[in-house]
Amino acid sequence: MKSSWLSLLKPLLPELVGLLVLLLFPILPLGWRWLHLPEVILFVPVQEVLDRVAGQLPIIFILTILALGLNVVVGYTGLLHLGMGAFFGIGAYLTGILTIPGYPFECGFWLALVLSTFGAALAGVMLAAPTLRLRGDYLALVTLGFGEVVRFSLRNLEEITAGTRALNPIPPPNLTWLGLTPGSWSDDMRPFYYLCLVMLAGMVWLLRNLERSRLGRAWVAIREDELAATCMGINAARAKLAAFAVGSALAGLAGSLYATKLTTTAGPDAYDFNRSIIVLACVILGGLGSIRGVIVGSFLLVGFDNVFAPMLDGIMQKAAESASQKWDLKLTDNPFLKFTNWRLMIFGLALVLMMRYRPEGLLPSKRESHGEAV
Amino acid sequence: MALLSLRGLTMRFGGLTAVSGFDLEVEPLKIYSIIGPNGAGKTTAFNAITGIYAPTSGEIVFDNRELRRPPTWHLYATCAVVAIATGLGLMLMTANIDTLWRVAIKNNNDDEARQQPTSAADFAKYDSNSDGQVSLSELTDGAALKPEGLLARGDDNGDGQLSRTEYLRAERWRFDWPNARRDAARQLRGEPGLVRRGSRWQIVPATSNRLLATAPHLKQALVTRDNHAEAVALSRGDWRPIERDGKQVFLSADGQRELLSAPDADSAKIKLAQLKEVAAEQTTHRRNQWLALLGGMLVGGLGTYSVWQRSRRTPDVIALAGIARTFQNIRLFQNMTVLENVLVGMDRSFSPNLFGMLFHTTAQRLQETQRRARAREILEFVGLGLKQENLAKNLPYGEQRRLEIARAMAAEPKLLLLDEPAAGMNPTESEELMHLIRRIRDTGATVLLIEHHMKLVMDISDRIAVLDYGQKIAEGTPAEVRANPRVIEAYLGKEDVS
Repeated sequence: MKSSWLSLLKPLLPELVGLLVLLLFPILPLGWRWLHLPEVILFVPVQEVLDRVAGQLPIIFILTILALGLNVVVGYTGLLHLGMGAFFGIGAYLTGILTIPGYPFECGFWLALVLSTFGAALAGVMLAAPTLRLRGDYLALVTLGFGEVVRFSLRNLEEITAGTRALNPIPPPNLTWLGLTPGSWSDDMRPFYYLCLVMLAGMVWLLRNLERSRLGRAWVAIREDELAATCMGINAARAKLAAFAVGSALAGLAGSLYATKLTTTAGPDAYDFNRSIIVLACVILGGLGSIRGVIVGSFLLVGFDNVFAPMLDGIMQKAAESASQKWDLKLTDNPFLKFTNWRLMIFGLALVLMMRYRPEGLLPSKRESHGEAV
Repeated sequence: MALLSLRGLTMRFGGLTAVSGFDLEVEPLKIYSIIGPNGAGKTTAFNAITGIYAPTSGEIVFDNRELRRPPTWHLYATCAVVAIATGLGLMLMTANIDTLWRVAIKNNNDDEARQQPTSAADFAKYDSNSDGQVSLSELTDGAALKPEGLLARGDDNGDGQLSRTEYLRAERWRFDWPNARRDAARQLRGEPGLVRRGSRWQIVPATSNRLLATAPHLKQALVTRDNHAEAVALSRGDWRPIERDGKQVFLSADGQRELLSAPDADSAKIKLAQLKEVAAEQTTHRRNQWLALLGGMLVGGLGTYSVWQRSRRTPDVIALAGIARTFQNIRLFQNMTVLENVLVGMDRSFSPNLFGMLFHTTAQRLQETQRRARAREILEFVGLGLKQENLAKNLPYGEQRRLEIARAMAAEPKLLLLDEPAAGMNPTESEELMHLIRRIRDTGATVLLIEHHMKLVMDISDRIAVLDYGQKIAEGTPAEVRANPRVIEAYLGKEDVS
């Protein structure tokens, strides 16, 4: 019996190792403190870097959930969706409206999380229902337009969404039953870190199950050949609606967590076309239709964006300062010596190289393994 | 009794007639063939049968019924929900959602408390406004201000000050739902509403941005608003001011209360004209709102119904009725494994339980294992037992054909349509295919096939129909068809007499 369990877990090894590392990660900075390790290794201030990574990891988890949602629509079902940022925003704003004091609802975090998820799913169905017949470029245009409509609605419904000022403060989740007081919430990143990690792991598990079920197969069949799939008795309209609903629900969930993490809905411009495209890039970089690939893709891209670029910025800044003092140069204000300014170029270059040498993504989905009885 | 009957099936694409007046009766448990030169309309007939095209005219009866999606209560429920949603959505749009929110939500919470009070002394200034709520000015010190629940939850951050969030989350703050509902209804009816601007309350009509009156306090503003609503209603009739104490006053219908007053007759006239204008706007607003509601419901409901009506005869409905097919140009799910291809064919036999799919319940696992075993049986039946884990696109051509047949068989059809199954096969392979088709027939399926391979057709068919230029030119047993001069003419051309 034991060996069969082990054999079941074996294909999940990378996921489990990753989960373990991430579970242990918040303990690392503390360990650094206890073990009195050197503070700077090879010019890298370790403590600072670890703190920064720990602070940004929840955001990475959240955006990974968003990318997984997009993966359902684009990766599995093969519908090009360029407006995922809008559903992210709908989730965030629903949470804002439902929780902030001053509005009549004042739901707790958990209820708001569930309602945002379902609200975003409903919005997804409402977008998908009239556009079921569209494909490829046309659907891409419609979703792109929808994204802009949502952004401008959020901006212009000033009384409800507070326009560009954003809804805030969104109260932190009530975790007293875990022995955590709201006060400790803002000082300690760990509760939210673990919350996001558990959400991410749960969503990966659910998506894995869904991928191997009737619905997951129907999605891939529609992507491969819609006509043949309908001739096999698959209701393509219903499967596509389900894909949109699941994808948008994940985006709504991510949005809700995001707003709670930032304690504000962050303004309509946080949910613009740029967001949708970055998430799409995460999915394509990792590998369309592959959960593992999407996780790797979004960790790389978002990590590069949120952790690596600012960190390198700091290091370059320090180097520039010391060089300026040493050789009497004026390097500190030079825009070329700021890594953030090179960020998008490197990002674009990476995507170009990727498309040239590995168009299927870093970890393309392996359908062979799905034949195994799970 | 015929399993499938085509009666006068005609397919036209623009001016081109692909199939015209095709009659065919397919008896159960037989093997039928449709043959004919290229371009005779054989595949078009298949496409019409499987619902890819809607026939221009003619009937397709399968198992004694027309293959159309039957109307269910789901349809009517969906139509109703969509109708109500579109109607209400449009109605809200005519009412201006933003103002509605402002009037119904923002005016009914403690507006002043939103201005970031920081200490107990600050809170003392924010007197709760209208009804029997505990007035904060009654509280003198910070300790008394902190409600029990707040302390119990540990919201106190220890500096003797309450943040705005803490204050608003305390039990003391309550949103006035009944009032909000009344305000929302009033706004939707187009009656004057209250809006807070700076430190004063303004009474504004729901339909425009004009200002009817202002008031410094909420209580006063509420009275003024109700007076205005009544005045607007009365201004529709023959309502005149009367003179009292040198002022022009408008009295309520019962003559008891003074709704409005004006210093002289001229300004009274202006006021009345303004009220009449507001009343007219209100009428228009209500009419528009009803139009939006009814129009939205009509568009939503009928739109949903007509979309459904158009999709009544789609391939999936026909597949579910028991017709499965293969394609002339192979249409497998290329990037799925061989086994998965067959599992997609078995789609209908899986339970639609989303909970089971998400959580991979034991029942779901059991079902999955059973179906996989069945899929393997089917694959072994067509001779692909050893290739289950290959991707479909990696199979050689002949095996792809067989996989397509396996996928169609997985649907457990009563009628199997095979579109040129032997195309591109060598003689040994087509021999095997012939046996396979016979074995499929023996499992209880009726087979209708299109084929150019004459040896195969003549050997296995019980009956053959011959199409030429979209018309059936012959039908009968293989021997009859072989002897038919029109068939020979269609294939070989007419003998020239010279």
